[in-house]
Amino acid sequence: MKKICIALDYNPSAEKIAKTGYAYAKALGATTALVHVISDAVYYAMDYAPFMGYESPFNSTNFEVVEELRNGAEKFLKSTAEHLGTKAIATKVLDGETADAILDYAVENDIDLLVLGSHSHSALENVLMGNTAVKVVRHSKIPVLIVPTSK
Amino acid sequence: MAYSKILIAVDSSEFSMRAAKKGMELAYQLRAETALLYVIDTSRALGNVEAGLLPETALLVLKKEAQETLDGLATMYTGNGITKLMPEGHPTNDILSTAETWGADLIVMGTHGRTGLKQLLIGSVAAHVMRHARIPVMIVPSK
Repeated sequence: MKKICIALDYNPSAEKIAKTGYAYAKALGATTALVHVISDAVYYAMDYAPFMGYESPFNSTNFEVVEELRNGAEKFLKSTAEHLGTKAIATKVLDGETADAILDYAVENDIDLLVLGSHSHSALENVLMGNTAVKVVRHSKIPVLIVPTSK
Repeated sequence: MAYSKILIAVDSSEFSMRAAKKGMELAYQLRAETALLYVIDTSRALGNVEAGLLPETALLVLKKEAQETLDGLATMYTGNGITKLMPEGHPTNDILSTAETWGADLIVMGTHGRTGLKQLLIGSVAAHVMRHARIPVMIVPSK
């Protein structure tokens, strides 16, 4: 296992996930990448015609909100890397549906181990769309290290 | 350390072989204390009275299957010794309880086991373990 990707939510549980994943990466002499997925912001910048009297202030040519979220997420990953005590960690903010974005990143970057939390930040995720971790495990072609993050 | 005791959960299915190999490879690299776990699923020890097969005999057959699987895997391991655990019970519960009593830091298992239908994308045992474990779980795809 030479390339490890750690997927983090913006949530205090990220510390445990990052530390666990990085401990394995160090012990295995693997390179590490930290990723975070912005899954919802893009929906606010959809190019819909006004509906029900509502016209979104954001669209695909005016997505400051998305940019700001992206900058915030980038800072979050960078400070996580610093917290782990290293600058030799790649960071990447991804867009899209969380599980799909993580899986695509893993394929494109020849990752051989994914690390993620057992429960993500969304309280509604199990009700609405199923657990992200389960979805990643279902479709992954590489091993997935699930770090327990439930209370 | 967070990875000094690694528990590898297997069964006799072809699906779990890849997980077992991956787990042993990892354990070797991390110089971890390693155990192979095969939960003997007692719900399968039904026997068949009409065929003259008693439940006790059926259980013996399952035990033999477990022993052979673990012995076969253990000979493939090149690290320092490997513990073989064969509790009787049900995989869904006993993987978690064995991990706790043995003091595992990590569980390694496949997405599918013996009861996992190929067409299901993740087996029920793996889904249960990754949801309820208090320690990290490495799930290895069976394909």
